[in-house]
Amino acid sequence: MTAAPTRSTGRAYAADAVTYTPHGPVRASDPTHVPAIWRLARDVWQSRDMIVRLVRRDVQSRYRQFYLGSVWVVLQPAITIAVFLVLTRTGVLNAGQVPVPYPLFALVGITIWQLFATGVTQGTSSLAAAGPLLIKVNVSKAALVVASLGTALVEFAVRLVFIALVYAAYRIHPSAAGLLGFLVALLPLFALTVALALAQAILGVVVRDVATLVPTVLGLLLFLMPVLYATPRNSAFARVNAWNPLYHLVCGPRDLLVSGHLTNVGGFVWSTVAVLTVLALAGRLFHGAQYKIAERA
Amino acid sequence: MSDRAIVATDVSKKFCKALRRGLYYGAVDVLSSVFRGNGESRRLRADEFWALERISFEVARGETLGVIGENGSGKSTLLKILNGILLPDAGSVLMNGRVGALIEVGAGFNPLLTGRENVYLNGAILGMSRSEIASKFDAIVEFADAEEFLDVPVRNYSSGMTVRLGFAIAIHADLDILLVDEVLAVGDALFQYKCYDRITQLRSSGTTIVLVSHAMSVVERVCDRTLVLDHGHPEYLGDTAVAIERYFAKLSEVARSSNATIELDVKEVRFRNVAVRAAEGGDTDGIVFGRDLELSFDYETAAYAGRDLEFRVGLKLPSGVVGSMMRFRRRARASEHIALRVRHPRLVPGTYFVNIAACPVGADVHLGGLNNAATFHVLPETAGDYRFEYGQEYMVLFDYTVNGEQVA
Repeated sequence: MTAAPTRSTGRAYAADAVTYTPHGPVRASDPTHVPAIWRLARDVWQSRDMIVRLVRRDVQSRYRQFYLGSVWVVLQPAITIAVFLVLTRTGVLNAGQVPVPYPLFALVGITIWQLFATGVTQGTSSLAAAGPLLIKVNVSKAALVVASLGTALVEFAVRLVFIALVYAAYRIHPSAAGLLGFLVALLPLFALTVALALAQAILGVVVRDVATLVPTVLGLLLFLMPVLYATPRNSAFARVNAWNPLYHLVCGPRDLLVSGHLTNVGGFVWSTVAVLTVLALAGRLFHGAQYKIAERA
Repeated sequence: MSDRAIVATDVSKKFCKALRRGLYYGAVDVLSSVFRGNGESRRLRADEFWALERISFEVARGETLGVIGENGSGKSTLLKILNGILLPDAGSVLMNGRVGALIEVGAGFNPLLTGRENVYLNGAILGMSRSEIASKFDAIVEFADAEEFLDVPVRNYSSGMTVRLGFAIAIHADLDILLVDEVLAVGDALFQYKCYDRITQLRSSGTTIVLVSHAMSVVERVCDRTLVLDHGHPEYLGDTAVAIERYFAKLSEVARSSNATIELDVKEVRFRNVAVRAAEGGDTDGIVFGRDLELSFDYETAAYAGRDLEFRVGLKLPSGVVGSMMRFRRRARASEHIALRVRHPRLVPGTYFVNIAACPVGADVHLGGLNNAATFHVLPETAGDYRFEYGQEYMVLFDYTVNGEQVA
C-alpha cells in the first residue's frame, strides 16, 4: 500500500506543546508581556507559506474565469481616468493645477487609493468568506486577513508597471528621491489598510452588514478627497481635508512621486502617528476576539 | 518531557440555542474579550447550555482514544477544542505535539484551481511547508488515486474524488497527534479500507490518535480506551468493549423510546411477544457478529386459520432503512408460537429493529403486523471463525429454520 509515514527525527515534543485555555492558547515558548500586534505578526510570519499559497490561489482563480484576464487590473483605473479626462477636457470639472499631465496625476492617485480601498474591502470580508475554513481547520486568522490583502498588493504592483509605461509615453520620469520617498511613504497607508482590515474582518463576522457598508463608504470617500483632482488652495475644502489623515496618507506618496516633495510634512507625520495608534488598537481587538469568532462564522 | 500527549482538565464549553441571542452574546463576548481579555465563565446565560461539561482525560503518547456517543453528545465539539478551533469556556487542554485533524477534509479547496494546485494550497493551510508537500506529493496523489485528474479543476471532481484528495493531503502531514472525526464514513469500500489501513499504520508508528466515530467496529478494532459522552457529560472512560456496551445500552434505550412499537391498521393477523436473543445464550446486551440468533413471536388469526400465509420479518436500521428481509410461507393456525433460528446472519454491527407482518400468498398487502416490534444490537467480533473485517462487504444471506424446519 502506501509508504510508512515519514517523521522528522529528533523533534522535541515539548517545543510544540500548547495549552488551550479560556484566555487563549498558551505556548511554553511564549514570552509573557508582548503587545497583541506583535503576537499577530509572529502568527503571520509562521504562516507565510500558507499566505503565499492563498494569494496565489486568489490571483489565479480571480482571473481564470475572465477572457481579458489580468488586463482588467489596468483596465479599471484606465476607465475611471478616461471618465475624468472627458470631464476635465469638457470643462465640467476643474482638475486644478497639476505638476504632471493630468492622466498621469490621476493614475498615480487612483492607484494608491485602490491599494487602500481594495485591501480594506477584501480584508473586511476575509474572515466571513473563509467561514468553513475557520470552523474546520486551525489556521492563523491574522494570516487569512493578511493573505486577503495579497491580491490588492499584486494588482498594485501591476499598476505600477502601467504607471511606468505612461511615464515613458509622456517622455518624463520621476526623480530617484521622489520614487524612493513614494515607496517609503506608502507604508503608513498600508499599515492603516492592515489595521482597518483586521478590525473590520472581526466586525464583518459578527455583524455582516459591515461588508456591504464598506465599499459604499469608500466610494464616497474617494470623491470627497482630492485624489483625482488637485486641491484648490485655501478653499474650505482644503482646510477640512487638512484634518483628514487619509488625505495625507494617500496624497503624500502621490505628491512625492509626481513632484518630488511632500506638500504637507506635518500632516503626514501626525497621520502616521495616528495610524500606528489605530494599528495597535486593531491588533488588540483582533487578538482578543479572534477565538470567539470561530463560533460565529 | 512528558509521556502524555493530551491532558484535558475540566473542559467545558457552552453554546446558545437561540440564533439572535447567540449573535448578541457573540458581540458582547467579543467586546469584553477586547477590554477585559477572555476569561473563564462557568455561568450560563438565558438560552445557553453546556455542550461539554467538566470533561477530563489523559491520552498517553502512542495511545488511541475513542470518543463515542449519540448525535449531539459533544464529540465534535470536543475534537474542535482539542484542535484549537474553539476555546474552552472553562478548563484547559494541553496538546503535546504537532496536531493534525481529519475533521472535515478538503476545507479551503478552491474549485477553480486544479487538483495539483489544491494539493499545495491545502497542504499549506494544514501547516505543511513547501518542501514537505513537494516531498509527499507523489504519495498523496497515489493515495487519492488522482493521477488522471491532477490538472483538472476541482469543481469537476466528483464529491468522492474531492474527499479522497482532501483526506490524502491531511493524512500525509507530519504529525504527532491525529484527530479523526467520522471521515471513515466517506468514499467507497476500497478507499475506506485504505484510510483504515493508513490510520493503523500511523498508530503502529507511535502517533497518538483520538477517534470520533459511530462505527463501533472501527472503535472496537482501533481504540485502546474509549470515552462515552452523553449530552456533554462523560458517561464512561476506560475499556473499549465496556464503553461500546454502555453506548449500545444507552442507544437502545433511546431508540426504544423514540421508535415505539406500532401495530398496522389491518389486524386480521395479530402478533405479540416478539423477541430476539443469541441462540447460544449468554449475550444479553447484544449478539456477537456471526453468531446464531433466535427470533421468536406469537401470532393469532381467526379469519386466516387454515390458509397459507406469507410471513415477513424485516430487520431495520435506526435510520429507517430496511436492511434485510426473511420471508417464509406457512399454513396458518388460529394461534402459534414461531421460533426462527438464523445461522451466522453476518449482520454488520449496529442496532436493528424488527418489523414483522403477514400477507396473503402472492399478494403484496398486509393482513396485520408490528413495526419496531423488538430491537437488538450486533456487536463486532474481532477474533474467531466469524471475524468481522472492517471495509469488507457482507452479503446478508439468511439460513434459518422455522420451529426446527429448514426453510429453503
